[in-house]
Formats: sequence, C-alpha cells, structure tokens
Amino acid sequence: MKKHQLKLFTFFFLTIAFSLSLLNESSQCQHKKHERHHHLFDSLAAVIYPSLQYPRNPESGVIVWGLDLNVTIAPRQVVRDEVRQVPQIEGLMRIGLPVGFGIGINLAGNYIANQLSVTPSWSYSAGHFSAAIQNSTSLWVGTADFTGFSTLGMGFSNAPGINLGMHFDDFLLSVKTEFITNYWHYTKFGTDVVKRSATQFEGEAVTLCIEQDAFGGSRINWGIKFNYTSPDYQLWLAFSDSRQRILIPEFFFGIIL
Amino acid sequence: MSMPLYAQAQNTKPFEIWIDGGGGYSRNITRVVQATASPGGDFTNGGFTGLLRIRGSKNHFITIGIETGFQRISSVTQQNAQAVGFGTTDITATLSAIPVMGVITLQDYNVQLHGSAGVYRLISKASLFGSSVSSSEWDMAFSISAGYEITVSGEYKIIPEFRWSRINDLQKSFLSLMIRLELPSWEPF
Amino acid sequence: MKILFFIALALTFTSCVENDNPLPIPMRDSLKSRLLNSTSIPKQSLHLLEGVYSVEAGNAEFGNQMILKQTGDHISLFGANSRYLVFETGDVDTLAIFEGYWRFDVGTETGYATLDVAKTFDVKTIDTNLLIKGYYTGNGTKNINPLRLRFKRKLKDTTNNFLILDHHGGFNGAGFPYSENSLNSIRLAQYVGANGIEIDVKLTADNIPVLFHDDNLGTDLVNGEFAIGPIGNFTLAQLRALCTLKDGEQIPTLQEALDVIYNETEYKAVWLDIKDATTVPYVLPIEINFINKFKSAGRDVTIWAGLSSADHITAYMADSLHTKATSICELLPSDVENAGCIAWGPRWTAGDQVSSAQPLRAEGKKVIYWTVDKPEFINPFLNHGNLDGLLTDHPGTVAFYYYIRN
Repeated sequence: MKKHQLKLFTFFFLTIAFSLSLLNESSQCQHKKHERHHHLFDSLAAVIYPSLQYPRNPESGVIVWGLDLNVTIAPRQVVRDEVRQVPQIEGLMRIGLPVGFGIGINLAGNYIANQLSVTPSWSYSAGHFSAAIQNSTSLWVGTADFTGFSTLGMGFSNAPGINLGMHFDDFLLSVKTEFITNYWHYTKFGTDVVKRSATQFEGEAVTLCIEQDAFGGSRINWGIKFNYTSPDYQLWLAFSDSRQRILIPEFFFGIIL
Repeated sequence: MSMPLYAQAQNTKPFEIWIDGGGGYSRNITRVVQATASPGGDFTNGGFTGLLRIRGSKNHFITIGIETGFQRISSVTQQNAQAVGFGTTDITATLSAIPVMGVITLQDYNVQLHGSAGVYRLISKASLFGSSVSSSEWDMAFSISAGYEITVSGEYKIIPEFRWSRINDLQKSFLSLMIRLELPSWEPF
Repeated sequence: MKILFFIALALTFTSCVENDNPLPIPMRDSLKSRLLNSTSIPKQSLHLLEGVYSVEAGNAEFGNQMILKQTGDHISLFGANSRYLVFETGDVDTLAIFEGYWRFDVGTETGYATLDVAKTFDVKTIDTNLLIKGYYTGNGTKNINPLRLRFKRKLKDTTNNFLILDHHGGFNGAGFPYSENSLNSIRLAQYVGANGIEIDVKLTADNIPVLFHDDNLGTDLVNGEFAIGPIGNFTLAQLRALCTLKDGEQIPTLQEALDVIYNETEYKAVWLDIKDATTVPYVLPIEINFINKFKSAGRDVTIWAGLSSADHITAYMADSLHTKATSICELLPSDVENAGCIAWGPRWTAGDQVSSAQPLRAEGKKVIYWTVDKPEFINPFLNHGNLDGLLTDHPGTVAFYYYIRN
C-alpha cells in the first residue's frame, strides 16, 4: 500500500515530465491535419495571470489574494468509520518582492484545526516554465471543547519545497513537493499538559494545482494535495500513535480575488 | 484588495466540449488473498469496463471534465463453498463499480494523457443459501491513462487507451485497455 | 517509441501490490523447540517471579527495566519503549525454560526470544541474586543477542485489580499478529498486558450479535472479494461463506467470544461496545447468561453493556432485562446514575475529571478512561489516581507504567 502510493506520486510526476517532452517534440513538428487545434509553442501569448500557487512570484509590490475551501480525507486507518472529511476555509495572500522573491501567507481553519503558514520563496521563469524554491513555516492550533473533549493542541512545523510550473493560455499548472518536519507539539487535555520538542520528519506532500479562467472573468484555483505523512495536523484530534506514513489526500478549490 | 497584475491574455479561442465513450477490458492487478471464505470456484479477476467522458476547454492542450461508466471488477461461481457453522452452499457473486470522477487531460497532437480523481460506487451482488444479497459503498479512486487518437472520418476519432486506476480503501489497482470513440468537438457558446 | 516507454513504465508501477495482512508470530520450529519434552511449571511458581527486573543485557532494545507478569502458564515482560515479550513455559531438567517472541506495540518489528532460570527459586530465594538469562533474535534476522534480567523488586500492587482493557477485542497496533475482534486476539491479549477486554458488537441481517467494529466490511478488516458495504446487509451464514477476518478466522459471534473468555482466559472485565442502539436487546440475553455462568463458577468477572449514546440508554432502559444486566455509560455521571450503570467510561480527552470521578467511585462504581495509548497521556491519569482502569490499544505499555510505579 505504502509503496504503491509513492508510486502514484511518482507516476504523476512522470506523466507531467512525459507530456512536457511530447510538447517539446511537437513544437518542432508540422502537422497540417491538426490545424484546428493549437500547439503549445505555436500560439501562446507570453503573459501570465495573477496566481497563488504557480511558482512565479508576483512582480515586486503586487499582492494577490485568494479564498479556498479545502477538504482533507482522513484515512480509515486513523479514524476508522468516524467522520472522514475535514473541511477548512483557507485565506491566501501572496506578496511580490524584488528580484523574484515573494512571500505567501495562508490561514486555514475550521476551529478544531487551524494553521497559519508563512512561505518565502524565490522563483525563476523561462518562457512558459517556472520554478521556485520555498520554505513554509507553520504554526497550527486546534481546540475541542464539546462533550468528551477539553483539549487544546498546538504544533510548529517546517516544510521546504520545490515548485515547478508551466503555463499555456489561461492555464497555470503547478506541481509542488514539500518535506514536512515537526519541531514542537503541545497538548492540553483537562488540566494536564504534555509538551514534546523532539524534531520528527513527518513525510512529504505533493500538490497538483491548476489556476484558470472561470465564468464571469474570475479566476479559480483547484487541485489535490497528496500528503504522504504521519497523521497530519488536521487529524491531531485522532491522537494516532501510528509511526506509519499514510496517504492523506486533500482536495482544494477556490477563487483568486 | 488585489490590483490588476498583468495584462490579460488575448484569448479569442472558443470554448469547446469533447464527448467520448467506449469500452474494453479491465483487470485487477492486486493480489486477491481469497475470493470467498473457502478456496475453489471459478473466479474471474476482471471484466468489461466502459467509460464516458465529457471535457471542455478553450484550450485543446489541457481540458477538464467528468467521467463515469461501469467496471466489472470480479465475479465468481463456486460450488460447495464452506460456511463455518452453516455447512456448504453454491455461490455466484459479482463486484462492480460505477466511477464518478473529475478528469484533467493533457493533449498534444495525437497523444492524450488523462488524470482522474473522484469516487467509485462499489456494488456487490451475491446469491447463496437460496437467497440474494446486495451491498454497496462509496470509495475514493484515482486513475491515470494514456490514449492515441486515430482520425477515422472527419473529426471522428478512435482512441485506444491504456489506463491504470486505483480504488483507495478497497486497496485494488487495475489495468484497462479500452477503445473510445471521440465525437467532433462542440462549441456551445 | 515514447508510448511504448510510457506503457512499460506504467507496468513497472503496477507490480508488488498487496493487501496488508496481520503479522505472523515468529514461530519456533516445534521439533526443535526447547519446550519439546518439558513438563509444565505450576502457576504458583511462575507467579513468584512477578516483579520489576533490571535489564543487564538487551537494554538497548528493551529499556533498562521491565515488568514480569504471569498469566496462566505464560509469562510476559513489558518495557518502557512499548516493547514486550511473551513466553510459553516449561521445566526441562534443572531449568525453567521460557520460549516465545518479542514485539513492538507501534511497529512491525518482531523476533524469537528464549530465557531460562534455575528452577530452584522459591519465595525465599527470589531476591536480587535471581538472574533470568537467554537471548533474542533481531528483527528479521537470526542474529542472536543476549538478554539478561535481574530481579529488582516485587510489584507493589499484586491484587491485579487495576483494569487494563485491550481495545477492539485485542487490537494492539501494528505489531499484533491476529485480527482485531477475533477469538485468537481475545486469547492473546491476556498475555500482552490486559486483564480485561473490550469487544465491539454489531448486528447481522439475521439479528445475531457478532464482533466487528466498523459499519462497513472493509479490506482493512476482512478478506473476501464480495464482502463490501455495511456488515448489517449480510446474514451470518452469508458472512461465513463470503469472507474471513484478515488472519483467516471467521467473524465470531458474541456468544462464541464470551465462550472463549469464559473457558480460555483469566480476564476480570469485559466491555461490550455495542455499536448501535438497536443491537442492545439482542446483546442483553447473552450478557446475562454469561454473568450467571461466571457467578455460578465463583469467578469475579464483570461484564458491561456499553451505553455510548442517549439512544443506547433509551434502548437499555426499555428492555426489561436491564435489571439483570450490568452496564458502563460513556456519557455524563448523571447518565451513569439514571441508567443504573455500575461503571463510567469517559473519554480521556476531557482529562482527569476528578470532581465527577470521585463521587462515583465513592459509590463503588468503576471509572475507566478510554482510549489512552501514549505514555505521556497514560501517566497523568496514573499520577492522579482517580480511576479503576484504562482502555488502551497498548496494554503492555499501560502495564509497564502502572506496575513500575513504586
């Protein structure tokens, strides 16, 4: 199962790589019988749209805002047949800085699990491709005070990553890989407090994102994030003691404001 | 609020919709530990698969849409199957699935690459001990496939497609070979 | 060419796909077993060995101290790092020989282990000179590592009254060799630290209470291609024909499980986690039958019907048999009183609820927190002491932290 999920991620990567190689090849060909369809390098305008996930940072001083809904599907191994969908509202902000730098700030929450992330990055773009290196630092806080719970959890994590993207027409396609490490964990249950400061590598996450035009001139972003980790912060309330990394998919959809 | 950032692309291409459908054979490539509680019987680890896709975009390179269809996952006919405490029985059973997935397609020239994510409705039907039982559940699924367009007439295309799919909680993976017919694209607006 | 490459790539990615089945026990070769011609050791003698031991060799694997507990003709050792050892026992010549395996609560590591001790020990000679020594093999290897334990002190609590209930009928993390809620897991859980068991009860289509936790028959829990969807869709006969548990056992009925608990275990408490309120009327007659059987046999074993919702309480109170049954309520202390329960089972996540627990305990009701697995969460409850037991996935870990206390 675990091997298989890793293969799935890799397969996605290879699919993208393969398609890129095809597109490169195709740009050098002439196929009259397909005139009706456009090919990547034949017709694209060299413009790029405001984005929240695409590697290329906004121009210096420019701010992009977004609002997303994401839903994490909790694995059966962790929550058994309890509620498996964990939805969150997420606000996103991206600020362009000079010489390709930028900062992203995300605030995701649903009261029980909430996370603030700050992600500085540096991007480089060439033609229709763009790449960025980034580091996401997150503080999460969760609370549960309904029947059977008097619980507060907090944690601090760091996730360096690489983001690769290509754009054509109004589509911006990004593939981001992050490596997540937890540094600090605090749990309060009743009057008791447990703190853990041991550094622990939790796993990796691969995000596939598309940003595109939608109806009415708006732009949307949507995609899926494959967390291949120990149970993630959204699932803190499950108090899983599993050391095994498991696939935790997260779907997201939102608008770029 | 955000500022207008970049010049909007001069995108004058029409929005097009592609519809295609077809069928083929799908095989479960996950090891089946046991088909029923006791060994034996005539077990088939695959079967017919059919798929209908509707995709749309202003850009033929990348299109998004939905897909649904039918997949026979497995079937069995077993005589004198053991049921501890209840003697033996003959069993006939099938396991099938109806996918409902979102799909994203990358295409250039004649090659299509599809990635899908969504849910499968799994349906089990069995006859044993002189009565029938039907049971179903939802499961999350993913698939990746590659196809090659062959124009047969005008803009009608035949597409052989090779597909890998995974039903998550069921812990099963499949390889499928299908032939699809793609209709001429339609510009609704 | 690229298409061929792509297809070849896809094929490579589709191999090696398997379902995860329970780990096998690293069985000794029965023909080479050290216990092959052994005679049984009296339980009273094994019981004398109970205590806290210093680990003189093998401490890198098992920690510096371990708890030795006897259950029937088995002895078990529990360490701080969630590692435990389970041994069968026998006398050969001048030695008491222990042979079995070691495991890890939260991992899949396991290996063979054997120990022996001169069988001259008795109640007077058990002191810090008592040495138990042997070896264990590493995970997945035949490399032999020494294991040496020196008696340090007796256990402070020798009553066995503190209840350590194993969750899910013996679910024990990644390293457990049997399916959860199976007859074999119920048999084994008593040797891995539990002196009580919690079993999950669902109802089949023909209204037979069976042991199962989830609503759906899933690949995680059963092998059987056509067994999907709610377990309540199937009759027991259909379930028995279409699937088995992951370890090959049948899905047991509640009757069968209680028979095994009665005949083959030394448990002191059984918590019936009745998953749906509609199942309550089908459980109570079976529960009452076994309450009477234990009572007739003079055994001090408590069985609780688990009431986890207001609907459960309604169904329980509406059944005339409830006056003969005993129950545990997971809701508020007032619900415990109103439903006439003899125990309260609060979630651990609300913390140690001393102001609620103390009055109930003063009335003679038990307070059992569920489901506490990690040492950092287990210890605060043990420190406060306002409890009669814990429900856990890791009974060996709870046993270590409970019995290591001075």
